Amino acid sequence: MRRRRAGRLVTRIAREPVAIGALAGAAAALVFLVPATPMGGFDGLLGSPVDGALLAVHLVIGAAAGAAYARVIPLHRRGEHASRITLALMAGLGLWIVGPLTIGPALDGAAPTWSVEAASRHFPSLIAHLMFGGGLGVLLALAARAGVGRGADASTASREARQPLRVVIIGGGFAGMGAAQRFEELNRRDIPLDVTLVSRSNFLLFTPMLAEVASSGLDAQAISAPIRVACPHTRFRHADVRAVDTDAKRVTALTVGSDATEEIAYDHLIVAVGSVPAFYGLPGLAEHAFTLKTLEDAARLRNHVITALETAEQQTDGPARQALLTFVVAGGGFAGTEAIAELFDLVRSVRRYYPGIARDEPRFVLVHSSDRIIPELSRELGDYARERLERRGIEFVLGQRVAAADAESVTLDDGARLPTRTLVWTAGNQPSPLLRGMPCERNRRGQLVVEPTLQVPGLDGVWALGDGAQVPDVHRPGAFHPPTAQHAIRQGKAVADNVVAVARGQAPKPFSYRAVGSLVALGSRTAAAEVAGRKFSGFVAWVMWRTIYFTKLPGMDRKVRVALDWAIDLLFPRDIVLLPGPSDAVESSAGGRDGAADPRPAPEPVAPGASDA
Amino acid sequence: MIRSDRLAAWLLTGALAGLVGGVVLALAMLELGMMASMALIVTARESLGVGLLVHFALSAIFGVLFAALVRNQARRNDALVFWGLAYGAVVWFLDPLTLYPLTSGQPVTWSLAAAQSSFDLLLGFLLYGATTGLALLVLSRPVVRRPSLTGLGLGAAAGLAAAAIAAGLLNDQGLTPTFAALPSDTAGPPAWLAALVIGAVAGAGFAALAQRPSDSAGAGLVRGAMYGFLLWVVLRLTILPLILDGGLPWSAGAAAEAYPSLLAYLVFGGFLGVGYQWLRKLWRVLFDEIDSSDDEEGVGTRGLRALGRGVAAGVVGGLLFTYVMMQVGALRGVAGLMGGESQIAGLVIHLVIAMLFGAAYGLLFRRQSYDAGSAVGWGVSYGFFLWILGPQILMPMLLGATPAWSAAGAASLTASLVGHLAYGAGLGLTYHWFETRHNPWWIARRQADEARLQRRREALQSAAPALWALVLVVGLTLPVILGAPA
Repeated sequence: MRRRRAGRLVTRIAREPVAIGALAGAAAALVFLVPATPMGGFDGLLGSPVDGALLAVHLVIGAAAGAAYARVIPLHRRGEHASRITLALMAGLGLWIVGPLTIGPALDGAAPTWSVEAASRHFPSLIAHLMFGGGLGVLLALAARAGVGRGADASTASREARQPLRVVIIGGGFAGMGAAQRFEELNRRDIPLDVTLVSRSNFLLFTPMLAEVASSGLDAQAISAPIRVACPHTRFRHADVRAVDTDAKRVTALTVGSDATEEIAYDHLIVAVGSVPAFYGLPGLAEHAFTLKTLEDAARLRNHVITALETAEQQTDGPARQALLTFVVAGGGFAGTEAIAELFDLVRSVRRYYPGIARDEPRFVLVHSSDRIIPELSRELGDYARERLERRGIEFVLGQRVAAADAESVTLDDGARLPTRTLVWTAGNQPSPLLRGMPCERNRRGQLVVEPTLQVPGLDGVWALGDGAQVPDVHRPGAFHPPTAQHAIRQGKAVADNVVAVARGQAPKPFSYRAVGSLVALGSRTAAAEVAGRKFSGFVAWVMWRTIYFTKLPGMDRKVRVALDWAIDLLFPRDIVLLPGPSDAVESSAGGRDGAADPRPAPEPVAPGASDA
Repeated sequence: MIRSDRLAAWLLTGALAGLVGGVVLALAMLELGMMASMALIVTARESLGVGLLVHFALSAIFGVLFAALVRNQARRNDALVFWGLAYGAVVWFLDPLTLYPLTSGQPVTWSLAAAQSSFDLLLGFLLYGATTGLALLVLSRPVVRRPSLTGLGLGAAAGLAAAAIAAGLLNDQGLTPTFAALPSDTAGPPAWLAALVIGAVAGAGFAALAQRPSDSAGAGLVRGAMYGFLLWVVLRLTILPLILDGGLPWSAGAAAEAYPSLLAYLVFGGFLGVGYQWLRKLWRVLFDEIDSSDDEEGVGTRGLRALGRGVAAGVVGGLLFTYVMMQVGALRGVAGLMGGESQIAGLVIHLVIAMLFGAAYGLLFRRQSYDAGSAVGWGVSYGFFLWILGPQILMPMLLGATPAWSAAGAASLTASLVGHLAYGAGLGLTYHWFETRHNPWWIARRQADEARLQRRREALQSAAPALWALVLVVGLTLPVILGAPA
């Protein structure tokens, strides 16, 4: 019995690379002592007479160095003896520099000099250290050859033979991409994973800069990063998820641009779908309001605004002209405030090309239901933002909601009518319709109710995060994480770690994150920011906004594109070229007809992954 | 499973190669008058005949051992030669410093004095190792690839340019003749001509060894520098003196005198290695329709990424270096580069330099390390080269002086060497860490890539450790052995 237990212990030690490294290090430390014999004893090397304690310290240092070395240079890769031995020699050299040349003098209270005199004095010790390194390298090469120290899994099967864990991620927004990138990192640490990301758009949209695309400040390409580039080791499927079978653990996806469907089996499913605009059944909104969730939205809005200016200049009919030159944004959160500020910048920057339009003619109105804008920020900063925008001539209609819209006007809930051809709707979002088919609990807004660990209760192997999930905030009981990119990226990382933990039989960790701060750009080189409890506003906050979001842009080429666009924006007025594509909205209204309704197709249910967190 | 007949054939080849190396070493030992004492290993008195027998027996044994060690390593021309060179240093340590005293009844000291007094044998064994490696390469024919004419031409061109740089640096110190081991009073034009001819021929030789390297220009830098060291041993200290003077200036003292030429050869080799890689690349881009780099991201993406990562990693390395500089009070000296004197100015300038050289590392050593170990290997090798380039060349030039190369001068820079090695290690590790974070090159996306990456990785694994080991020998032992007072 005892013998068997001892046998098991030996087997366990033999698997542990660090234990093998420590043993080899201690043995090599004995090799280190060999030069001591011809040089008149141990004290010739270590500077003091040999005794048990010193010998023990010496062996412990050797064992620690060996363990560290085996930890860094994995033993499971065979056929690397040459590099293993050479690097161990280098490690010996490093120890010589750190030990006798650096710590040695320090112990004696002197500063290390690393002079040639010191080096000559410690030359025998150099040889001893190199022998230690060489010995360690040879021993570990032999250990690798014998197949010991390869970790717990080595005895059962090689990495390739183990069945990789199949993970399917639905959605290529911040949450989905964050998860995929984290999985790639984990994959590099010898955790076999087979990850598939299904998304309807093949890029990640960097939504914080979307308003700048709408205002012609940035090119559309500059803020969209291809998923295949950002997650090169993840299998990507450009497809719509049509159904999720949580019993059979299978996802049915319809490839974009074809009618081929694909069944993808999973062990773990990560639902990272984004949200779509919600109009709450308000009359006329779905047909006449512009939204600002996708690149198409931004391009359409930009084209629409420029077309409106073109048309207005030729329009002599007063009310029709005024409607063309009135721009209304519904919703005073981050998105709405940034949208109105950017629209103002666009119109102001290009107005000089339209001599028929007077400076004070264009009108900008922000409609918001509560009495202060940007409720996510402190009242002080919200007021600051409002005051700055008001100073530019932007009007605020507070405590009111948009109740209805038609082609030429917006009706507020007090019955007031605002003539306008441009209504931008940022006042409501709802989770992707895909979630409605999932057999689990949802909250009032339609988000999936999840555990703090991001697991969906009652569904085995299903996780949800981002806009489509109600994630409890462990720091504030009863509260939930807001649907922002900042949170979605962290949730993506957390979910990947948790999936791997569960697959290994460990407990998943609750998601815990405190937002660092929030920033809102107010156009005209101003912004408001709250970072780590401190408030910033004006130019400083604008620099912060640009710096922070610039560093968060995915991919070097996107950074270069955005930097170039910003530089161009500094030096030249914004571009008024009407791009072919999403909208020719007012073209038909140019004839003064009844507003040409909305040229856009009715908003179809946005597939999972089409929008981001 | 190892096929025993094939193994036996390989080991026999190793023995033959060892004998070839032994012939070269024997000639040198006869010249130095050491052969008779080899007999002391088996008998009590010196005898030339017995000495020769013992010598050749040992040569064959060490040849077999070498073949066994490199059996799974070397699949390329240069790898075998560099492994041979590194092996020579190990055998020097095992044989004359250990085995010989033990068997001939003398005390083994492993002291600096012993190392200095048997410096001539170190050179002999380096020669033995290189020859054995070369012989093994020639004898095991399947491994050898014939060099292409284009390759030789590009090598010669790169060699010419590198020799011009090295000779120019020597010229500033009035030492041009030392490159070709000519008498110091040789006139300028012949000395220059000799240097350039050596450069062109050595460049072609480098091309024949390195062939079509699949690694980066950084690996070329290290390979070239170590090729420079090989040339210094074989050409500058052996062949040229034998032709010109008929003697071998192999003592530690004589080698210390030739130290400026060592630096010149290292610089020559480094520039040759980088130049050869760049010329090859240029040739491919201009004249090969299918460039294998099609599979890579655009120059902008990878270049900018490498630059950014290099700069950030340079800061980490620079901070490690700063610790050394503060201990030895060298920051003020750095401040002198910009005419300042304060510690702070020195620190800022030092970190800026660290970032610049970090950026260069990023460009040179992109996709070169595949784990922490190889990162340290490349980083330390780079650090060593910077130690030559920085304090021994650029620093004096920027301070308005001419470099004055000497073994004693180099020995006074050992603290700086430690700093540069620490810088290199920190830089290499941090850079590698950045590379692991996004799309690491060593993880394939397709089956086809897998095979290509595996080949690249194997090539690195077979040749690179030999280079790192050599850097260890050249970088550390030489300044100490040559520079320390005997």
